[in-house]
Amino acid sequence: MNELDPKQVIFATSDEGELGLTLADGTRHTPIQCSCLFPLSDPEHYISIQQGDDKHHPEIGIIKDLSALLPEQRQLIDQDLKHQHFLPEILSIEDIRGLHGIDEWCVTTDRGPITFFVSGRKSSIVLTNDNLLLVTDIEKCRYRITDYTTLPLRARQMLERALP
Amino acid sequence: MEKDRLPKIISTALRAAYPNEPICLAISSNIARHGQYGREWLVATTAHLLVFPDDAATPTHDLALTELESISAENTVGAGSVLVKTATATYRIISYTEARSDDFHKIVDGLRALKEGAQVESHHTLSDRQECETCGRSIPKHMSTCPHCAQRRQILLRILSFSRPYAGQLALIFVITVLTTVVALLPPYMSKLFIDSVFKVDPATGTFPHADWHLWCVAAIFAAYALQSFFSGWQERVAGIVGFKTVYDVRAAIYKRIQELSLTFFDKRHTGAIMTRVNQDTAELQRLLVDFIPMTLEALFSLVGVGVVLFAVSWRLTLFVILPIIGTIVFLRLAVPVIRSFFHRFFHRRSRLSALVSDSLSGIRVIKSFGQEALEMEKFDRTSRVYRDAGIDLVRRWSIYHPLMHFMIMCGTVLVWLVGGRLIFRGPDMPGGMTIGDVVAYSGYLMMFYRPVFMLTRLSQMITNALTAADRVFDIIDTIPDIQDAPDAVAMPRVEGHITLDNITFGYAKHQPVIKELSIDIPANEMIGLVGKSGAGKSTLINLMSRLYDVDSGAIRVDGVDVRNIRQADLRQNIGVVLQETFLFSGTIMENISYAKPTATKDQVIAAALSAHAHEFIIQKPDGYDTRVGERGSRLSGGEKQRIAIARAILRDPRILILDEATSSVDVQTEEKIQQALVNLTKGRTTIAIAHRLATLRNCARLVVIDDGEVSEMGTHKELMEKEGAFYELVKSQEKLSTIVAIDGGSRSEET
Ligand SMILES: Nc1ncnc2c1ncn2[C@@H]1O[C@H](COP(=O)(O)OP(=O)(O)O)[C@@H](O)[C@H]1O
Ligand SMILES: [Mg+2]
Repeated sequence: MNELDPKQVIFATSDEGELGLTLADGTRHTPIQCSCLFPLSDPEHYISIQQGDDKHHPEIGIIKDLSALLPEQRQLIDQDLKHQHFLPEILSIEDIRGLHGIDEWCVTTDRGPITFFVSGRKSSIVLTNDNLLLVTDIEKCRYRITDYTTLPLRARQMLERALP
Repeated sequence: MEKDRLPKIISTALRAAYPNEPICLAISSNIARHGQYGREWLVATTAHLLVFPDDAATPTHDLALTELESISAENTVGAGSVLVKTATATYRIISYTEARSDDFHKIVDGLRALKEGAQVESHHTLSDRQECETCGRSIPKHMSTCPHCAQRRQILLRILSFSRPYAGQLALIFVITVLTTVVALLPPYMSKLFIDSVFKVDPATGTFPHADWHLWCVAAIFAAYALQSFFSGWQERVAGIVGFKTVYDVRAAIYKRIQELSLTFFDKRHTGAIMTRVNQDTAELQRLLVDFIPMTLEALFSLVGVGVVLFAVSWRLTLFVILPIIGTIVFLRLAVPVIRSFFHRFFHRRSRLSALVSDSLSGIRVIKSFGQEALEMEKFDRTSRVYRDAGIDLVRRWSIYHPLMHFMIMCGTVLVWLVGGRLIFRGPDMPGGMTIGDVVAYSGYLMMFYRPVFMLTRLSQMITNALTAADRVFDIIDTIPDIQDAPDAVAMPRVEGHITLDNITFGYAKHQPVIKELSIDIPANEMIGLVGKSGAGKSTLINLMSRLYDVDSGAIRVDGVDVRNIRQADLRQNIGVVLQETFLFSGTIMENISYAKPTATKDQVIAAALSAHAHEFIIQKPDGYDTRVGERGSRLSGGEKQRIAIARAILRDPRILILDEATSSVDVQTEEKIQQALVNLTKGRTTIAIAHRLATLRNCARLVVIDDGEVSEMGTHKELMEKEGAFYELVKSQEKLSTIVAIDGGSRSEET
């Protein structure tokens, strides 16, 4: 594993808005793209940095801990990850309305409020052992709830009822 | 089209900026600037590409189409963006969620056309997404009706439509239900007669003036109970028969559709989930038809019938008695959602536990060989504990709500004696006054009244369950197979075997081609070898030739006829395949070989097994050809399974023989023998062979090297070796590997 030392590398955005990276030995890579290796279980660690212009996206290296980066550096990565990985976190549940076999969810996520439909299939709501809940709507868009036990009681009750 | 919905402020701004350029394309996104949900507009005129935030006149991007080097739609996880590349940089101009991905790919095609100076075609702009006529929302893909407006009633009617052939029996159920209710009204009335008349002593004479009624009344009660039992048995019987017949029809409809559906359907779904639909969901429907509909009907009738009687006996009392019922209904409205959420949690945890058990049992070999029993125990324990706690939580609530509910109902009876008692004291001749018999009969009727009230409170829940099941069932029945016989498909009982792949492109997921503009011509009776790295697309090519999937563009022709125009049954009849993943059905070896040709004689089966060198191991089995292979052939080794699969393909005697790494799991000696047998077999038929060990392909007339879905080299073994290209590299690297094995002193023994 080619670990990148957060103190030795510099991320920067070019004038055109492309994210680039300068390594300790001075090599520059622009554009780059970031991807999280454990996007569900551990989004803060193990970020793979890849070349963005090559079709196969060869890996440049891995940042092990995002929090070791300087705040403004980290923000650049967060921004890119937000684009590479669209998985809104459900912050509150306004309503889950049961229709025939399909529930209409009205929720607020970290990306803003949204309404979507979830079918009553087993695979559409997956609960892992760590209280992480993954919801897939009928258009294959996914949403996550990192720890559903922290939701308010009412939301939790609606959720339990929607569990297939 | 979205162009028509472009906000006025944007179209005005555009007209001001580029007065001479009409708007050609417009699409709105659902992700805004900083990754938040929101809307932006991508608009293209004949010469410019602009992006506007929703309802703003200043564009965030304004690019001339001529300065763009490329336009593409890039998929990320759960979302996507349109990327444009100029001479100096790449811009991510607009982003959208997965749901809109198809639309944006179309728009990008349109933009490319515009850039080339071509016209925008209708397929660039037409969205196959429909809009709901009632609410105007766009209907999600793969759905025929708007989920927001879909009526429960419609789907309920649809289930009932399966019962239409049994309309007569349904009407009968209806009549029996009415009769049952009427008969049930009799016994409480008899108690009134007993108390108020039969056993009433005339104070003047000290005798029972109506003693002669006694036997008649007893007989009436007897008859009422007998009829009630008879009717309920009859109803159960008729309803059960109709239910089973209907569900049989539904199940047959599903299974037929499942067999017709193409592989794309199964790629997207879990086999277990499909099995659930065939078994459980239809069972759920059966519950709906057999138990629930008659029960509801009965409940409704008794509610109305008994309600009328209650009012008739004493409307004053009824007004009081209604109070606790209203209270109960309000209580249920509040409590049921809570209770239900606990029940759901309980069921969910239970199914998780059983999933865990079934998962670990099917992987028991892996668990044992890694010695991870303790870990599994711990996993089980954790899940089991969660299940236990959910159960305890449930019982805690239930033990409060349930008695409380019961108590509230019983308050009604208390009220009967409280209020009814006062009415008795009033005397039967006063207005509103009641006799003792009236009150007794009344409380009897009241009991009859509560049962349907209870039933109906559960109605909504039961309907939801059944409808969920129905929805899943109809989801399958309504799916239209991707691969269907064209109406004018030609019959080709025997093909020559000339295969042409003409510039074909195909991807399992749209927009991600696995085969890219590939062309190969295979003359009839030629043996051709496909080689390439794993993941290059070799098996995919074979899937396309057998038409398990249809190409996205280009055409595959057999004897000059597009496979899409050949009757599927004929095409498959002419093709014999040995798939990379050998699949055997649980059954005997004989059954598995003759699967390709159920009419085959024992002689033919043995001959095929001999050619595939399967015979030699089969004779070693105590049960010979009757050996049961176990689930998916688990009792045979990988090599044995492959040899049976080869025998199966040989038995079919096809015009086109396809071998996808058919000998990858047999040892080198056996492979050699199979190869020799294949030399004879491949004579006089078109053969396409994929092999991992390149040496086994030396009989091929030509070899085709596939790399990343494209043909990188083609020629005879000799030509390719002399060329020292990709094939040469592959051969060299394999030779190196086999020398290492030789030095290690290990021989390749792969019979596991
Ligand atoms: N059913 C499928 N659904 C989605 N992707 C698939 C499917 N089957 C194969 N692929 C992908 O298609 C590519 C080509 O696979 P395949 O044709 O099996 O390669 P090979 O040349 O090894 O036989 C691989 O990247 C594989 O992951
Ligand atoms: Mg393969």
